[in-house]
Amino acid sequence: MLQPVLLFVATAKDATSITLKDGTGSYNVSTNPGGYGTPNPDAPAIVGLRARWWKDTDIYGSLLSDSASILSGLQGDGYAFTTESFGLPEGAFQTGVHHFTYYPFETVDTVVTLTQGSKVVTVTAGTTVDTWNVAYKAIAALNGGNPTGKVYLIDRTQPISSATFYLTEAWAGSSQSGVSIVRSTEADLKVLIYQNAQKCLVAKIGKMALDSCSCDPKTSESLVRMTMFIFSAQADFECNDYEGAHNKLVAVDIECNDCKTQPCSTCS
Amino acid sequence: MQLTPAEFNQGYGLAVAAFRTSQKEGWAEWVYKVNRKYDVAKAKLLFLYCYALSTWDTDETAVNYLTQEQMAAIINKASET
Repeated sequence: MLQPVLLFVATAKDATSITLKDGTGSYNVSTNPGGYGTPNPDAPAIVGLRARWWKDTDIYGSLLSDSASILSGLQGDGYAFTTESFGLPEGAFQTGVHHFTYYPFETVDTVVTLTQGSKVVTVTAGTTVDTWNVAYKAIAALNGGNPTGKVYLIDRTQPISSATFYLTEAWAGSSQSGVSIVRSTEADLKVLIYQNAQKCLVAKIGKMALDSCSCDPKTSESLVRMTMFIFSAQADFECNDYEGAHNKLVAVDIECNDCKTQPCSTCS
Repeated sequence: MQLTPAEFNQGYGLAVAAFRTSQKEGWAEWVYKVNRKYDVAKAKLLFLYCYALSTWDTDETAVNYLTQEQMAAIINKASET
C-alpha cells in the first residue's frame, strides 16, 4: 500500500512561498514498502494539496494540478508554493502553524455520475469504491483526462455501496454523467510560519537602535518577551505541540503590530 | 554612523557569535554570565541587538529585515552596550 510523504524544504524569508517536496521515494520491499512503483502505484501525474490554518476546520486554499513544473518540483528538490498556488491573492502566508494535506492521485478505472449540489456519487462503471482500502481519502474528477474542479474527500462516515458513495461536501460543478474519477491516499504536514513575526520584531529593534530610544525598559521587556516567544514557538513545534507554537506566534503577531509596543513615540 | 566594511564585518561577526552562544547555552545562563559584567537591562538590550543581527543575510539578493542604516546603528549600540 502506498504511504505518501510530504516534506517541508524551506520558507521564503518574507513568507511569500513555502517549498515542499514529495518524500515518498521509490518502492523497496524491505526499506520502503510504502514507496512509488510496483506493486504500488507510480509517482502521480495529478496532485492535490489542501491548506488549513491551525485549528481551522475550513481549508483556506486548495490546489488540484497536473502541471509539469509542480509535479517535477515535488519529485525533485521541491516546489515553491505561493498564496496564488492556492487560489489566493498574492502575498505572504499568515503567521502561525499551517496544516497541509497532500494527495498524490492514482489512476483508477471508475466512472461516475455527479450531481450539482449533491454529495451523493453514483458509480456507473469500473472499480467500485466499496472495494477500496480505507486509506483512500479523496477523489478528483477528470475532464478529457485533465483534473477538473478541486479535491473532494470521501465521506467514510456514510454508507459506501457498490452503487453509491458520499463526498464530504456537495459537488460544485455542473451535473454530468460518465465522469472518470481518480483516487488518492493522503499525507499530512505541519509547517511553522514565523518569518513575518520575526520581521516585525527585528524592524522594531532596528528602529529602537536607530532612534536611540532604547532607554525605556518597558520597550525592551516587550521586545525580549516577543523574541523568547518566537524561540519558544519553534521549540514547541519541534516537540509536536502545534497549538502551543501557533498560539505563541499569533500572540507575537498581535503584540508586534500593536502601536503601543512601538519602540519610540510614534508608529511608523 | 557609517562604519567601514572592516568595522561592519567585525561587529557583525562578534554579535552573531555572541547570539549563537546565547542560544547554545540557554537564555538564562547567558544572562547570568552577561549580568556579571553588565546589568540586566543592558544584557537584554545586547540580546535583542544580537538577535536582530543574527537575521542578517550577507547575500546581496537576500531579503533582510533591517536596513543598512539600522544595521550600523545596532552594531554601534551593541559595541557601546
